[in-house]
Amino acid sequence: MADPIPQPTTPAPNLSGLSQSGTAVLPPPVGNPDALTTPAPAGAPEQAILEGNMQGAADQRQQAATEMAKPLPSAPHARLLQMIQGLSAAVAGSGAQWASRGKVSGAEVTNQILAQEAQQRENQQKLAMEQKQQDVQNHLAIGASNEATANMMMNLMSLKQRMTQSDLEMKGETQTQAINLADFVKQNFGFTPEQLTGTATANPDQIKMGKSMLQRAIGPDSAAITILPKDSPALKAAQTVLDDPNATPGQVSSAGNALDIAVKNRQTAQGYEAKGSVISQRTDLFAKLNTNPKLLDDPSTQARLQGILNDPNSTPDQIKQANSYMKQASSANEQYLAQQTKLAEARGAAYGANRPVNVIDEQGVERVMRAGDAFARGLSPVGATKAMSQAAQIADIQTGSNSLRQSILENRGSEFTTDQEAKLTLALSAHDPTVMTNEIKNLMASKLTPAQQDLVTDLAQMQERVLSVRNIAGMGQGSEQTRNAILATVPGIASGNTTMALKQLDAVDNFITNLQKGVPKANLATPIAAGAGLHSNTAPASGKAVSLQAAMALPINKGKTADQVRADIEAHGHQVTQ
Amino acid sequence: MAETVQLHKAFSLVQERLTKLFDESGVKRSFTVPYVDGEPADAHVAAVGAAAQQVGGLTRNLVTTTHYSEGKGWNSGEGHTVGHPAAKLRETLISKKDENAKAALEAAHAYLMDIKKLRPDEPSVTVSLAQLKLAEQTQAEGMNLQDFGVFIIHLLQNPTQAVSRAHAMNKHGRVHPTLTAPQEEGQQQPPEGEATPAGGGGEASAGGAPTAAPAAPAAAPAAAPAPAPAVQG
Repeated sequence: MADPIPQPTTPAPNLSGLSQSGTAVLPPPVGNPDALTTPAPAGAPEQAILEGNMQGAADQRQQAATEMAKPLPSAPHARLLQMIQGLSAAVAGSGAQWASRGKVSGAEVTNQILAQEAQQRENQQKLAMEQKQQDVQNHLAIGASNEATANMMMNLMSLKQRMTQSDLEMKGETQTQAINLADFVKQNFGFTPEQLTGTATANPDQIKMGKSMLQRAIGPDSAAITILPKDSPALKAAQTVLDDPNATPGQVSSAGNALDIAVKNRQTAQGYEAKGSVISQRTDLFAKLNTNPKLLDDPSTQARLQGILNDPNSTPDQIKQANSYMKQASSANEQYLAQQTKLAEARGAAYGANRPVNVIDEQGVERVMRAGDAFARGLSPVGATKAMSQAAQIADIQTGSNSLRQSILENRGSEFTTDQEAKLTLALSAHDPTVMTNEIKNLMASKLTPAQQDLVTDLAQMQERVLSVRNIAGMGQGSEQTRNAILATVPGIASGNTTMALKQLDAVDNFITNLQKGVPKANLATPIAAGAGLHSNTAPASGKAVSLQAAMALPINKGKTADQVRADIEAHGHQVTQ
Repeated sequence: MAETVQLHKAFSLVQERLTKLFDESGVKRSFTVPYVDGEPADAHVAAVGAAAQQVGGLTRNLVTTTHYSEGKGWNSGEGHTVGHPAAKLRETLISKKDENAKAALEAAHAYLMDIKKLRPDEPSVTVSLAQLKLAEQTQAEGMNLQDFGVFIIHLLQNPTQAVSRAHAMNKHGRVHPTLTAPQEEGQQQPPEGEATPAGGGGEASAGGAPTAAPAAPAAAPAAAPAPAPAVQG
């Protein structure tokens, strides 16, 4: 049977010093480890293609490595072969046992045979794996070499075909010399040192160009014409050279340089003049400030002083004087600022006091007056009408409560008939105002005493008024449940007895008093208060004081409590005393 | 006077001798793609890639490319790119005193020495020459052709890149190559010493008087500016 595993055919290279073949011979990268992919000059189209092919080579190497790494497919009928081999080993073992007449164990022989076969298979697989790895390395080496060749082609494309060592060096000294020469030529109206010294000849074009530059140097807009006087010798000399058709490079250059020097000298002289002028102006400024310190208030004067401080050419004495004056100016500025602040505050206060505002006067009338006056009188702005409305509603409820309390006390001992009680109950519990009105009319038409009529009226009124707490407490309209809860606090015809009805009314009063604390009071001459609008049998304030103890002793008050008597006294407009 | 070297020509010689070694060792080429006059480089590379794809790709064929050493040189049609099957190269050993192997080693040595003339202190050249010396001692006797080819190619790679890097950093019109537009096709720099077109440009020789009109001197600051001198170097 042929050995299915190929034997290695690649002999090792006979190269002393190189221990391995294949990729082992690749020289290690020197310097930049990324040198293999160092890009050549960018932009060349062929480089893009080259790079594309290199990428293709890399892909192929990767593909080859992947293929080689795959395991070999298993041999056909491997399982059957394995069974036959196992059977053969068993037969061989049995044969060995039979041949040795039992001295040798057949099982041991069989196991040895199987172990040897397993070892052989393992060696073959190991050998195959090594061969695969070797193949992969070969493919990678070939791909890398082709890539290197492409790289070298690109690199060489960027080079000149003939090169010297100097092509790879910066010619710094040469450049410096060239720049120096150019500067010299520029400063000497286009002539080289050799031409100026006479060792080289300047051609007519160069002389013409030099004259042209000299002509521009004394042109209409030139610095020479602007600065130098018309009779300047330098200007005259330059004009003479320009007029001379045989002027030499040296003459042109000399005339131009003389002109340059004259311009600079003139500029320097003007600088001195300007400097002297500055000194004179500063001295004059200090003298003026010495005689008239108020000049420091002028911002322009302060700016001039600051300019002296900022000027690096200022003398120490000038800086000292300027500093001194600036301190004075600073103090004056502070005073000025304080004064201006006070004025601003006064202006603001006056504006605030004199601006017109809408207020509610003591009579409750809306008026327009100066804010200062309104503030002094303690008037409320128009926005307080809401609070006034709330105060009025509270007073209304309190009036109704007082009236009802009085009616309850007056009806002590009298009873409604069953029919009357039913009608009144229906009227007070009716959700429809029309129903309530009709029931109340019916009750009035029945045989009620005047006190009973007052009670019925006050009960109905109280039910109406107490619902105003929704506005005072900011509840809005409120739900049916809310309205019923409010109405349930008001005593009714079914309260049982007078004491119970008064207790309920006390609770209502307490509730209203608490709400009243959250409503601001407007400054009105006639405060909104309870009591106004009581029904006709409520007496106005009498101004008399009635002793509660004496009143309790009267026959009419027999059986009444102290609260009932107190309420009765107050209902008649008297003041209660102990 | 500085010695002039022609790296392109030396590189082509190395490749040419490798090709000859492979051919005359009995390894049949996988493909041959000749250069064509006027053909852009990218077209040639694309053709090589297509040819290699038909015979197993670039990992199964070792590529050598050359412009004939006795021909017109680079940018001409006188040359070719050749592929040899790596498996066959691996099976073929270099015999004793193989003249073609010796010639290839000599060409590689010459190429490295040319680079050494340009970059005397380049460490990659020193390393490559030392490794080449090992092979020269036995003239690569007993090496298979694949190992030999890969060995030679990789010996040349790092020194070539070093030269290219130095050139790119210092030349290219004194502007870094990444900041310049690519040259138009066929506008190869003329060899040094040959006539340059009027107006110079490129890498003209340094020194000499400026040819353009110099600027006006400082004495005439208000005057119209003249063209700046073209300082070349």
